[in-house]
Amino acid sequence: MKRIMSIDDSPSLRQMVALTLESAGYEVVEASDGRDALSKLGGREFHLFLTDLNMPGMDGIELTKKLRSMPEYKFVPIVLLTTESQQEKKMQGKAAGATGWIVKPFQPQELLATVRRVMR
Amino acid sequence: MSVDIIERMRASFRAEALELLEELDTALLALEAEPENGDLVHRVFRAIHTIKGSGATAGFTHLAAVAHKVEEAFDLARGGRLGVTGTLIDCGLKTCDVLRAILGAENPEAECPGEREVSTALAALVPRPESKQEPGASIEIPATRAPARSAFEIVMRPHKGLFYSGTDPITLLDELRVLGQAHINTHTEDVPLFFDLEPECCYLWWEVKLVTERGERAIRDVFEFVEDDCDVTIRLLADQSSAVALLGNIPSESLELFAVECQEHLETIEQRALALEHDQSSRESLAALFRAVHSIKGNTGLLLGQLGGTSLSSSHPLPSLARLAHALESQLDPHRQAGAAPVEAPTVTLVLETRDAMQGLLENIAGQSRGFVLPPHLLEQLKIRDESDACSSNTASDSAFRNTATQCLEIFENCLRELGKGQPSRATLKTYERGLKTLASAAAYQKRSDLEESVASQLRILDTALRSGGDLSSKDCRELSECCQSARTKIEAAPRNDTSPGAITAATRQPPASPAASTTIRIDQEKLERLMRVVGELLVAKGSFPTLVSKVTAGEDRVVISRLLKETGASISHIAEELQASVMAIRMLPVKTVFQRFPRLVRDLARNLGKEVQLVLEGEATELDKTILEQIGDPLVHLVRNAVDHGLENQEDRRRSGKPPSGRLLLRAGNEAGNVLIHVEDDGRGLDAEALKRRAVETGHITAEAGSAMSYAEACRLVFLPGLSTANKVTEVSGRGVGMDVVRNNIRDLQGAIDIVSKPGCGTTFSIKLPTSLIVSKGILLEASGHEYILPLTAIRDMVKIPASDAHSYRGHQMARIRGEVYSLFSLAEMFDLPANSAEELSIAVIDSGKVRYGLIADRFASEVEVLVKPLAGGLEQCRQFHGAAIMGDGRVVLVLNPLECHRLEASESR
Repeated sequence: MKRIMSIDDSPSLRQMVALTLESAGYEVVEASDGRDALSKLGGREFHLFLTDLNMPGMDGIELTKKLRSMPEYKFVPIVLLTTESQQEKKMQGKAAGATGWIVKPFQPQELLATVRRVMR
Repeated sequence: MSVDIIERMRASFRAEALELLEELDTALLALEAEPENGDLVHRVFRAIHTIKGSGATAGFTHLAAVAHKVEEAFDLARGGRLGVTGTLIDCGLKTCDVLRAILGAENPEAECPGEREVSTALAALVPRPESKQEPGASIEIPATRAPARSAFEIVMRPHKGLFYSGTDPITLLDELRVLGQAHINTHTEDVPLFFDLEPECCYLWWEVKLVTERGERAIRDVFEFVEDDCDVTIRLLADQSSAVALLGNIPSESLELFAVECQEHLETIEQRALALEHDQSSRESLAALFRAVHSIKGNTGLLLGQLGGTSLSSSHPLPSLARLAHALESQLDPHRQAGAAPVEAPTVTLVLETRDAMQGLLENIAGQSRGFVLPPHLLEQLKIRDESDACSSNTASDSAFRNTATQCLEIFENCLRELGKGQPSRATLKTYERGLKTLASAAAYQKRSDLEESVASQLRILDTALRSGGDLSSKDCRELSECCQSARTKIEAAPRNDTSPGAITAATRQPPASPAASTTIRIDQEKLERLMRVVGELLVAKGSFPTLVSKVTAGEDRVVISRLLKETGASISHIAEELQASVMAIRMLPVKTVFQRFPRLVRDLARNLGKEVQLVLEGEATELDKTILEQIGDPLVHLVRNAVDHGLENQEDRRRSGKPPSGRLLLRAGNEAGNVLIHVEDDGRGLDAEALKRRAVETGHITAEAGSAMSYAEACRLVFLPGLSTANKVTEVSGRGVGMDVVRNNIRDLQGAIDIVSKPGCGTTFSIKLPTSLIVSKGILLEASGHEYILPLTAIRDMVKIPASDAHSYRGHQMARIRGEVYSLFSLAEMFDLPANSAEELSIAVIDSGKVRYGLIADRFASEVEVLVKPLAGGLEQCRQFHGAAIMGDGRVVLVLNPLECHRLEASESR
């Protein structure tokens, strides 16, 4: 089973992501921000990271940079959850090594489509 | 998403939003006290932002829209473009109330009291230079006026660093596949040599032909994330209708099968036409020729039928092929009548030319080549009026249907005659039934529903008869005969159903790629049965293991167990050998498949050169591995061309030297000691050894002294040196600079050898020795610094041990005299940068293949092994110093050396 980490400071968004992904057969690990995400890696294999950009503590871009510097997660797809007003952030994220993005708000099927776009 | 999940999400959002609103209240009040505090502005902003984002995701569209307005205001405040005023704070607090009201409302999408005032107040605060897009509103995509289905060519060239963005290009290809029917071609030519390969870089690129209804926009969207990491070009293919029809409607498997079958018929046409040239009155050849042409016409018609409504342009190769076959058929038909004129030479030439044209078209269709154009004079000779729609797709498929149907009817009538004679046999009934099923599927295909009923009722009668053990009452017989009659009337009566044949779409995975080697193989049924037998034995042998296990568990005596294990092992290993032999046998094809192209080649060559040549083929049944057969063709063509062009004299010269006027060229294949030998033998003038020596001296291959010391036989072998041609003039046929050295290299690549024997005035014989199979080979397992390698036995001339003191260093090269000859020595350890062991004695394998000769030093020669060599895949295939890798009995992987290349590695590095 593919393991996905969902990183967002909003529990309800995390829940929506988790419910959607779990109903599609993925295993989901939740984290509330970048720092929490790093502490929950535990050297495990992850197939995808879905991270919010704006978060207290460590933000999404910082997290992307950190993950890309770790050999285990160097090539794992990272999708940023952004809002339409964050075009510039999107570019920053891409430069930090993000794979793609999904614009909030999104419908569950959009989320699944994006997940399938970046992960086999 | 189930309703339950949505409800749970909404509930959890409500709870979260209420908390956030409290946080927002607190933050707003704190901000009112300290309007200059940036952190507080951020706190407010983030809280509103989260409410909006999560709300929209949980399905609270109205709430998100309200939150958006106030978010916008605080975003401006965050950027310092809007002052934190009492009005702003007021708006924030009022929005909190409105949001709470929405959350508590029965219908969260309805307007709440107080909403309007807030929104007006905010509108006054926030300057609106231009109307901005509403959040979440879907952007209208202007519908491009693309045709329903279009064929695109997409070239995706990822930048080398693509993988660093976590992108897997395969997912992009998968997504293209979802859009429609994709034919994907992967380009590997940019993959560098192993030593230059950066494992984290992407070197592959892709070319995709896609037939889709979704338009260019959808394709662009696939590449949304990789715009900066990939060069992507999307192009609408020029010849839309043909591309859509061909790529979209015919599954690649049927296209391949069609090509294979047509190829076979084309070969028959050639053989039979040549036979007719020798014996104009052969009814048999004419009939076979006619049948082959007819089959091509029929197959093409069926394929055109499959394309259905989608029309191909008349210049497309497929309809052209149908036209040609039809025209040729009409040309041949009159000759089939009793007492008709025999087929004369001009007609044979016309048949052969048409055959070649059909071959060209077929290659166009199969995508093997492009741009074959029908020679206009051929169309004229065949009396084809261009753009003639006599053979348009519908008529073609209809005529194919009629052919099938008529054949079926003939079968029925024969069977009925048999049945009328009294006791019907089961076999007759079966034949009848098969015929009916063929007719049924053909009728279904052609949508001839009018035939359905008669076929069905006949099937019912036969079914009952077969069940009751072959009993057929005379009433049943009559009914069958009536049904048959009515079917004939319906088939012969012209009115076709005007329903256009439905387009058949099928998932196509692969493009009709790799044109060079066909991927299908036709197997002799006997071979397949042998394989099945062996598999059966394997299943039986497998059954002895559970017995063994139960014996072990029961604590049976170890001696008994060991004996049983040995027996089982022996029987399994016997089966494994048999299995290997059976599978190998499947890959074996008769040499005939290659030889059969020579009659035509020799005929054309001889005519062209004004010579008379009699070609004799022997041992056509000799079998060779498919891969070898596919690659031996070109070298053989070269040898045959040389023989006809240079070897055989013209009639006048032959008469003068007392030979029969017609030259004789013999192609003979046979088995010898596990190898296949192919001889190309002519009775021509033989080689001019002196001329060869002169050329070799001129080109600096040998010294004049060496030349004069050479025997005739040795001098003949000079012909294999690169760039040596004794032909005085370049003829149309040969002498274009592709020399015998290329032939020899080709044969070496197949792990074979070629030799030449010539006798002045009497002729030249080339003998080619080939392994029967490339897959299993014998080799020597050898060791260097603790690493094991396999050296193929074919390359080894000798294996010796010499004292280390006998090896001398000369200009940085180690040399030694082995059995009277001097060889350079290369050490395996040095080649692969392994720590060298110094030994008092050197173990040397002498490699000698004529051009490449040296001694290979290893630490130890372990044993002779028989291995299955797997070619190296991916970037490793560029490592020419290895043939491949083999898996040993215990699972270890050992690299198989290519001795003809591996000394080069050493040579280049020592430079």
